[in-house]
Amino acid sequence: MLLYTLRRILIMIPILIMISIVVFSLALAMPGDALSGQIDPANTDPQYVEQMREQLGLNDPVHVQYARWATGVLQWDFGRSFNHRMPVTELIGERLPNTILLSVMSLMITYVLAFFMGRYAGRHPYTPGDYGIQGLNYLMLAIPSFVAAIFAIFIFSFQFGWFPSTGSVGSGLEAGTWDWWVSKIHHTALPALVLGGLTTASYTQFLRNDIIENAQKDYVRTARAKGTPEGTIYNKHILRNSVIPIITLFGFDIASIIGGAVIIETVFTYRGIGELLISSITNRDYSVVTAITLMLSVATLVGNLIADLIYGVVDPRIRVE
Amino acid sequence: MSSQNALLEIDNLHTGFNIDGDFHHAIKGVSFDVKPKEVVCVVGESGCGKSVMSLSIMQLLPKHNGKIDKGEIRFNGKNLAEYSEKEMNNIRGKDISMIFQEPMTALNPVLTIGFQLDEVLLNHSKDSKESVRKKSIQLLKDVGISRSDQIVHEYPHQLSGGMRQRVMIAMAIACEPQLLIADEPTTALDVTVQAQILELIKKIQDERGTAVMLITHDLGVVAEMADRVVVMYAGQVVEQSDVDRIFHDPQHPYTKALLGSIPKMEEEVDELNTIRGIVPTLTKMPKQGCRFVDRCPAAMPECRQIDPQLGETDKGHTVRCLLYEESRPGEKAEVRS
Repeated sequence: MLLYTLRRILIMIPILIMISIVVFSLALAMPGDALSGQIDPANTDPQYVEQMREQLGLNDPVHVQYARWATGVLQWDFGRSFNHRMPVTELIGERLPNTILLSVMSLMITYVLAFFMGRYAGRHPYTPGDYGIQGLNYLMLAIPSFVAAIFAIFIFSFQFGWFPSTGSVGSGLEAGTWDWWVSKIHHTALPALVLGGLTTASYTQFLRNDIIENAQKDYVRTARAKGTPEGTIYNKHILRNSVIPIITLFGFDIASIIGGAVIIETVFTYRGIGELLISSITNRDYSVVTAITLMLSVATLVGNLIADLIYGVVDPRIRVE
Repeated sequence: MSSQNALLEIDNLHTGFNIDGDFHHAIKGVSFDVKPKEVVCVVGESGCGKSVMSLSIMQLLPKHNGKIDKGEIRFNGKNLAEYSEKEMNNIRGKDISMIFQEPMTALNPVLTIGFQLDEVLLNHSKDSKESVRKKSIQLLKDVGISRSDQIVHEYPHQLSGGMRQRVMIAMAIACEPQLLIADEPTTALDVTVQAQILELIKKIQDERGTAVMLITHDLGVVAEMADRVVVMYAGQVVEQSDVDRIFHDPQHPYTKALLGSIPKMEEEVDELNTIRGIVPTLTKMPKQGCRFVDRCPAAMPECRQIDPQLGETDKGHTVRCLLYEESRPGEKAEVRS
């Protein structure tokens, strides 16, 4: 197991190098550069622009720029944000806890809802309850997240006044106090509900279909032939098999815990990674963009590794010796 | 007419499936019985309704479209066809248990052998987990699995097909059932393993006095194991008798054809004997007349018009064919063994 994990981590190194090249090239290929986000190119002295470009190293050949950037990354230095005028690592570090809080809350909502709905629908397929759950699923799949977010803000923030509509924490609160935490969770609840509610659909459908499929399997017939009650068959025999494919989705979720929800964070002006990514792209703050993209890639790779390791725990057939 | 001492009596059983809105019978009027400690072999080609019949007894038909439509399944005099799911759960695994064809898929891949074996004991007794586990290990020993105290912690994929079938048998005999239904238990196994598994079933039957209903299409197995034989074709019993008479005095053309298709060592032939054609599918079953008529070497024009009845041609030997006067409707009432 340890050897397998180590081997998998070693294989990640060349993949990461390739990803970093792609990420860096894509950032370079974006229209404009860090400088044009800072100045108004039309009204600036071309000589000054040229001088600044030279100074920032933007005129160097691509491979030299990449080498400089990659050396920095290896030393945990992702450069400075031109927009926020602070080191990228510090900027991300500031936003990351918010995003993690939002993601974990929304994932919990997703898992709990999907588990109960999927289990019910899978056990009672083609019944009114199942059709109701499926109708809800299609509705949630069909509604774009920004529409759902705006509706949620309109209804729950403006009409009922239950949740704040913007920001990630109330003003004037000291970090770390009880009130601060309560305010944080209060601010996060509505975006988490929208985010978690919308992603429930695919999980529920996955679980439902897998339960229905497994219910036809021979081992279920064996369990019934032993006189095992229906409830035990579903909860022990089938569910143990049906959670296996869900773990694949979980691998991607780990990436989303760090990546945040770009759209939802923007709509709620929630100060997380997703909102930072969008604003950085608009401002051509490409050191931030490359750092976040690279971070997401690493999270996806690590997420897949964790998913593979969990596979081994729940499925004895692929347990690594 | 039914014999008083029968363990299981199947009486005019009709089982069918809903296919595209129409109900089609896979079993149409099957009647026979199994006496205590007896080995009854049910033979026939694939698609004859043998498995559907065994699943009907256990009420394990696919829930969404399978249904027992008519007839009774009396076990110790009580009609199982009227039992609720909960009442059936008390019977399944305890009084009647079943071994399936595919040992590869019949065990749950993510649960340990021990868990799956303990389960049947826990379902039907109030014993503690520890004593159940001890019993499970002993059961595995009984079915010929060495190092059974380690096997209980292993998963099905770590065992060979023969071992898995032994585990299935251990589960089936755990609660000392009165009837063991084995649905083609050796079909998926190597020939050498087949013989071992059959020997094991025979041994269990001898030692524990369990009645066995063995479903097979292998006449070699029948000769080896059976006391009595029920030949099925297209959802009906076409002939039944004791094993000697089936082999030495077969009456129905289908039984004769089945026996004729066994390759013989002493004869050198260019081509193996086969029964031409296949069993009609559920949706294509003839509505009238003998169901075997299209493949029958002895078919007569009237076979297409008259439904043959199961008639007793000799004591304990019944057949469903118009070649025998006893099978003509009206001339002799339908009898069961």
